[in-house]
Parts: sequence; structure tokens; C-alpha cells
Amino acid sequence: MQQQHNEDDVILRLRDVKVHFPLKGGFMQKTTAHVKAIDGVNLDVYRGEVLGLVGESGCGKTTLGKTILQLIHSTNGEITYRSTDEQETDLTKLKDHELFPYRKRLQIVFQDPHSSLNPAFTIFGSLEDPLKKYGIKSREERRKIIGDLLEAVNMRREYMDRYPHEFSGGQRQRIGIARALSIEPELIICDEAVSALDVSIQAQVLQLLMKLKQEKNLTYIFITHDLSVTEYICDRIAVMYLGRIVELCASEDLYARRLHPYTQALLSAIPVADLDKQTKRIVLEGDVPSPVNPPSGCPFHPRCQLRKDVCSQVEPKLKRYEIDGRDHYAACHLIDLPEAAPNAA
Amino acid sequence: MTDITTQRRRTRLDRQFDQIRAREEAGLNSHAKGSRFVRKFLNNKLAVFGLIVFTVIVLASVLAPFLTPWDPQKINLRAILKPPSWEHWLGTDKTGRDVFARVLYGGQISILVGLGSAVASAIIGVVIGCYTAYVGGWLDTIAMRVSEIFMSFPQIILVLLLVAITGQSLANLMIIFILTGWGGIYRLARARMLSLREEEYVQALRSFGLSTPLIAFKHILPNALGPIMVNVTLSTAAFILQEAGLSFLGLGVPMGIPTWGNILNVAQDLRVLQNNWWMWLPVGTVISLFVLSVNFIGDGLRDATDPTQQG
Amino acid sequence: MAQNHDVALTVSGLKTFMYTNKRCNKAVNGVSFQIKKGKTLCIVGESGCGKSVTASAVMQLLPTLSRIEEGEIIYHSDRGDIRIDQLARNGRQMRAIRGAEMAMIFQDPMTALNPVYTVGFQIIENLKYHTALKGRQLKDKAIDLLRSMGIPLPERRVDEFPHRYSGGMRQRAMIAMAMACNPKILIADEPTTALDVTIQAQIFELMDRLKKEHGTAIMLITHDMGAVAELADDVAVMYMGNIVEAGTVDEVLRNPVHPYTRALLASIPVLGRGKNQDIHAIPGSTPDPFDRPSGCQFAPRCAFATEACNVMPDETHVTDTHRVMCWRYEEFAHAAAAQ
Repeated sequence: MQQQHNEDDVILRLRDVKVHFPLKGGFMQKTTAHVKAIDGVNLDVYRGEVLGLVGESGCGKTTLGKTILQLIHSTNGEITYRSTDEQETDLTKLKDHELFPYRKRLQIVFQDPHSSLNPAFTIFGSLEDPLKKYGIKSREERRKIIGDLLEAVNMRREYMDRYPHEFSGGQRQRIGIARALSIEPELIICDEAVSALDVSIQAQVLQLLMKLKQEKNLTYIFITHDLSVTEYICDRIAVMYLGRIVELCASEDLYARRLHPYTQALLSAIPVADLDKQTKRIVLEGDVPSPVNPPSGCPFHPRCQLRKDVCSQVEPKLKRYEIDGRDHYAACHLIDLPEAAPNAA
Repeated sequence: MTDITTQRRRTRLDRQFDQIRAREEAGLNSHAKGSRFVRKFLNNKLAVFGLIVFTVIVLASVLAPFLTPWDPQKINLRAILKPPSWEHWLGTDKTGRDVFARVLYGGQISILVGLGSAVASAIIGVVIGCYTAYVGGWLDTIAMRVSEIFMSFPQIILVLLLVAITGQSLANLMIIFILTGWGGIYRLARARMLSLREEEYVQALRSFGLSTPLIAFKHILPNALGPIMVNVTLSTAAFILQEAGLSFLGLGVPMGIPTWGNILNVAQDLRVLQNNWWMWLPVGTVISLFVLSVNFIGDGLRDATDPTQQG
Repeated sequence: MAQNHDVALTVSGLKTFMYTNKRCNKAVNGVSFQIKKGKTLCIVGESGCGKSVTASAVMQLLPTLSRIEEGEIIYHSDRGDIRIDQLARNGRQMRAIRGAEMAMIFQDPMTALNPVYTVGFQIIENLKYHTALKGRQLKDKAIDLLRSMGIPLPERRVDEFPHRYSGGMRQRAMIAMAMACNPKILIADEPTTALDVTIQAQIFELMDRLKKEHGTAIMLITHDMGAVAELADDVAVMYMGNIVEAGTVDEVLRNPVHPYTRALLASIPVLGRGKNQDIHAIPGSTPDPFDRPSGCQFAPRCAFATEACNVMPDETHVTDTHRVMCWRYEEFAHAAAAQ
């Protein structure tokens, strides 16, 4: 059940994170514009939760996942990792070799089962290098650990001597999960980890992820565009649009009472596989705008049916509301609720 | 249900399909064992022919001392310009040297120059290309410019310069080939690396904090080797032709050491061309066959590593 | 199956085998269905089930190393019944039908449009080949089509290249090209899989409108049960080359009787059912197409498999329109009705 989290439970804190990619053009390769992939994100991730990051293409969710791991460097802002003994470190301030101990704590599972494993190596070959790097010196020990990992994801130990092309998509994804688990991380970012799988295999992998979370005390950031899946496995959900978080609340609150017009449109657009639950669709006009030239004021206002003048002039900040004793954040001028005292987001 | 294949015209493809289907239903087809690469290569008749011819020529050159008793450098002024006979299988040249022996021993040098230059320039090109392309940024830009500088040197001018300064030598020739040739493989390695760099398994390796050389050379390079291997075979052929051309002009290896190129040198003389066919025709044929066979092998390698070709 | 004027396409006993790598893959192994005018048939299944191959077979767009082994594909045109499977793949008759009377839209709008020609040029090419329009009329019709597909500023858009279009607009342009000659049958192969959810909603609405305005018979290939619930009038569930269950969308979604359909519906999280919904993954994975089980293809993963399942079940009718291939369907029919 949903509890209120307190400060002590925070494992990751993002403050005003921005990722702007320069676009170079012209004769001298000058920077002509920026792709504002992430444009000011404030987020706390609590230990042991499953936080969903949802949105459509261009919203920046994948970029945010990679930025947390410092695979992409942020242009601005802080990403603070808080360890179990309450040491806080700002990952953005570290150089590459200083990040080394933190890489152990934060890992990632990728989307595409076909390119997430090196086709030239056996599974053992792919998985042993990280173990070597983190101090497992002997080969027998590495083989034992990799065998244990494969069994933890419901595969046979012998599979470690096979090549990726001998496995199906679902199996490869499970190997990717085994790889992420290999150095015992605390937090795993699942970047569209089940999107490329058949629906019947998705259920297998989702249930595996939940089982591993219980066994190993993990925290997940679950990035996806599929809101039916997030309803099932996430505790809290953050909805992103054009590089910003527009709504952040507990999972059941999102589905029961969404506040932001984009969330409403998004949820109504999803085709539901239940004949009794067909709802009236809000069809948005136009396309998702490009992150190079985001609209002024609220990024969603050109497609919003409820827009007023203020929406094109002033950018709404993510405000905290308290509903039924729980935090519910939303960034919209038109929400008619009393704002709760500002908390760290 | 009507069997519509009887009503449409049956093509050759149809017959092949029927065969495959019958075998499948009888359980005779099994998952091909062994490497798909090898199977595809062996299926390509031209490539297999090329491989056979290539092997024959290389073996003949390597085993030259066992195949002919004659010393290719030994001058015998009593047996000048003799046509082929049982004693001299391909006759003798202007100074009485046995042509067959010269062709065989000449093969050793030509193949050494060709293969050696190709492999050496490949190593340089691959090492530089993989690392700089993976790291990117200004290192990559500098490497590109440097390779362009090297590639823009006209080879003949370089050879002339070096020959004028230091004289003809085998080593000089190979050095020049390598210096002007590494740029091509560098480009290839760089292109492959740039596309493979974005693969997800590379990002996974980075998320573990593995070092750059480890990722670039141990993990990505094996996947990039396909087109590079093909290029090495084709470069070998190209270098052999270049060496032949330079030696033909008298600019290559010093005249004493036989290579296919400077054996051909004699054909500059119209009288030799008309009267002493055994001095230039066999050598020319061997060069052509060798280069052709290498090209067939290169084609076969390229098709075998191409995942979209039906195997 | 009823042969009447409402049916645009009848497929019966279709078998299509793929011959790559010198092996024979029975991708489609006996499939029958009908596409009715003004209705949408959804063929739903997971990867490897043969749904895309079926669509390609109907359009005679199969790859070189494959062929239609058996069966009939009958297109009920105004001029009478035409046996599509008998026509040469690129013969004049088939080419006249393809594009004008039967059209197809594909999954990836990025690659389905030729990047070096303007969108208008590609639409006009289709019109030039199949209609008698000339000159200015062609361009006007192209602009008209773009407008009716909901593309804003069509007079400008018609002269632009595909890379200036967004994903959703490209899909609309492709639908415009497909609908240019008002085909009787539209085949859509996973048309929205590569698009965002909000854009997908737009495309679904468009397809619904086409169905109502033009009476087009639509065959929609998808793996998304949600899309099926939204759009389908009739459903056919495919698994490893067979249609295991087919019927109206009400019958199949409310009373699924085949164990695969039931397992599939039970394994997907449905929006609105909350965090504690009961999800059961289907154990195992699809068999190797070259190493198939004898008899029912789903038996190895089926919780209800028996000895009898080593023989392929016959097709039986639950109702006039609802058919299934399972020996034990009656037990599930009762269970489904009891729910």
C-alpha cells in the first residue's frame, strides 16, 4: 500500500536537471540552437519503490535515465546519490574515473534485446568483464557467480557458453537483467525493458523483475510509454512532456484522478483490451512538438483544449498538492486546488 | 483444396521448393551444423575456385626450392633466350636464368610485398581507426586530417623521391605502400566503429565503467572485422599489381631480386614481346590468376559476412 | 462460410511456406477467413504466428523465396470473383488490382515512403497508373486526399519531402496514397506500432471514418489486444500459422474458448484494472518453426493439453460465427459463459 515517504528514504535526488544538446550548423560549425531534451527536472526517488517514468517520444524519459547514470552529461543541475549510510554525493560533479564506485550501485537494462548483447561473445564472455573489473579475480568464481545469476533469472547455467543469437528475445532480455544484477546494484533503470517483447513474454519478464526486487531489495526506475504496464507494477508515476515532469503522484492516484490535461488525454488515448471499459477518447490535435523550439509558457498549451491566455505566457511550475494525505504534484495553471506547503519535490 | 501450383507455370524455383519441402517433411533437413560463414563461403563456387587457385600459387612459391633445381639468380650465358624445354620448363631469359624458377621465387617476394603491406597497413589503420573513432571529439578529427594527408600523397612521386634518395629496396617499397595505404582501412574501421559505438551492449559496458581501450578493442573490434578482412584480401591484390607496375617501370625492387613485376619488365622490348613469349606470358598469366582469385575470395568473404544474403 | 454480397475477400485453406536457408518453414499452415465490406477484421497474434505473411500473400507481395502452396484467395470484385492466388505476382492483372482495388499500409512510416520524391509525386504516381486523371486534376486530387486525411495546409504539404513530415503525418500520407483510388480492401500491417499513443488514437479515428464513409473492408494486423477491442468487428487469433479462434469481437473477447486466447488475455495488464490485477504469464516460449510439435502447436505450453492434442484439432463452430480449433473447447465455452 502507498505510504508517505520521508527524507530518510531518498536514494536519488534530482534538482533542476537540464540536458541541452547543441545543434551545430553553418560554416564555422557554430552552435545554432539547442535540443532541450530535458528542461528542468526535480525528482526524488525513494529506496525500494518502483517509480514509473512515462511519456511519448521526445519527452526525454530515456535521456533522463541515461543522464542519471552519467552516460550522458547534464548541462545543469544536481543529481545526488544518497547511500545507505547517508553519504550524499553529487554525481554530476564527478569525473569519469571518480564515478567508478557509484557505477556499482546504479545499473541499467536496455530495450532492444537484439543489440543489448555483444554478438561476438558468449554470454560468459559478455558478463565476465564487469565482474573482473569489480574485483572477482578467479575464473571459477566468475563462472559460479554468472551461473547463479542465470538461475536467478530462470535460465540454465549451461547457457553461459552459448552465443546471443541462439536465444529468443525474451531470453536475451533476461540475460540483460542478469547482467545488470551482476555487480549487486541498489537501483536499476529499466529503459523500456519489456517494450520490444511479445505481450505474453512481457508478463514473464515483469513478474521476474518484481520477484528480483523483493529478493534483492532493489529500487527501480521504470521507463516506458505503456501506461497499462505502469499501472500494474509502479508505486509512483512521473508523466513527462517535452523534457519536463508535468505530473507526479502515486500510481492509483494517477489512474483515479489525473490532474494534468496531458495525462487525461494520454490515458484516454490508450486502447483498452476490455470491451466494457471503452471510454470516450480525447483526441489531441497536432503532433508532439520538437524539443528544439519548445512552445512558450506551458509546453503543452498548443495542443490543450482547456488553454487560457496565461498558459502561453507563463511556464507552470510543478506544484505540490495534498489529496487524501498523499503528495500529488502537477504543473498546470488551471488546477483549482489549494497548493500544499512546498516540500522538496 | 485445389493445388494451384499445377495451374500456374512451374518455374525452376518451384522445383527447388518442392525438393526442399519433401526433404523437410521427411525430416531430412537439420539445422546446419558448423559455422554459417563457412557454409556460405563454400557455397559460392567462384570463391572456392579462387581459394584453390590462390592456395596453389602460394604453395608453389613457398615450396619453390623443392619444385625447381635452378637458382633464379644464376646467370648462364650459354643458355640465353632458350624456348621451353624439358630442361628449362619455361625457357630462359636474356641472361640465361631459368624463367620457371624466377616465376616461382618471384612469387615469394610479390606475395610477401602484397600480403605484408596489406596486413601491416590494416593493423595500423584498425588500431588508429577503432580507438579514435570510439573516443571521438578532437582526437577523431585530427586522425581524419592526418589520414587525408597521407592518402593525398601521389604514390609514384613518393617512390621516385625515396628511390632517388635511398635507392631501390624492398623495405622502402613496403614502407611506401603502408604509408599510403593505411588510410583506406582506417576509413573503413572508423565507419564501422561509429555505427557500432551506439549499440546497446556498448552502453552497457560503459555503464559498468569499463575502460575505453577494453571496450574498443576487445568488445567492438571483433564485430567490425568482417569488411576489414575483405579489404585486406583486396588490398593484397592491389599492392601486388602496384608492385608489378612499379617494377615494370624499373622503380620497384632492385633488378637482381626476382619479382613478378620486374620479370615482366622485359616485355617493354618489342622484340621480346614478339619472339620470346615464354618470358612474359606465363608471368602475366600468373599475376592475373592470382589477382583474380584474390578478388573472388574477397567477394566470397563479403557475401559470407553479409547477414542479408540467403545462406 | 456465407458467400454473399457483403464479403470483399475470401481466403480458404491458405498455406504459405517460406524457403530461406534451404529449409521449409510452414509459416501459414491452413488459414481461412473473410473480410466483409465496411467492417474491420483484426488478425491478432505474436511474433512468428504468420499474420504478416498472410497479409503479404493476399497482396501477392511475398518475398522471392516463398510461395503459396495451397488454398484460395478470392477477391469478390464488381466484375466477378478473381482468384488472386492464380495470378502472376507482377502480372498486369495483379498490378491493376494492387493499388486500385486492394491497398496496403505498412508498419514503419519512416521507410515506407520514398525519401527522394515529394509526397505529392508519390500519390500522383499511384493516381496516374490507375485512373484516367491528367495534369492539374492529379495534383488537385492529391491535395484533396491529404486534406481528407487530416493533414493541415495540404497545398503546401503536397510538395514537401517525407522527411519534413512527422511520424503520424507520414502514416496519414501513406493512408492517403493507399486510399487514392478508393480501394475496396485496405490491409494495414501494424500501422501504429511505431507511433506514439496519442498519434495512434488519431490514426484509429481516421480508419474508423474511412470505414464508415467509403465502406472499405479493412484487415488490420496487430499484436495489441487493446486495438482489437477498439477497432475490430471480427477477430482472428493466430498462433504458429493457424487461426486458433475466430469470431466477432464480442464473442472472442467476452467468451474466449481457446486456451491460447484465454491465456493471452490473462497475461496483459489492462488499463483501469488497478495494481492488484491478476496477471498470469504464459509459460515457455513459441516453438522453433523448424522443430514444431506434431498436432496442436500450442500444446507444449497449454495447461490443458492431453494425449489427443498430438493430432491437430479440427475446426469446430461454437456459434455460427465463432469457430475454434481445440479438442476441449466445450469445457471452456461453459467456463466462459459462467463468468
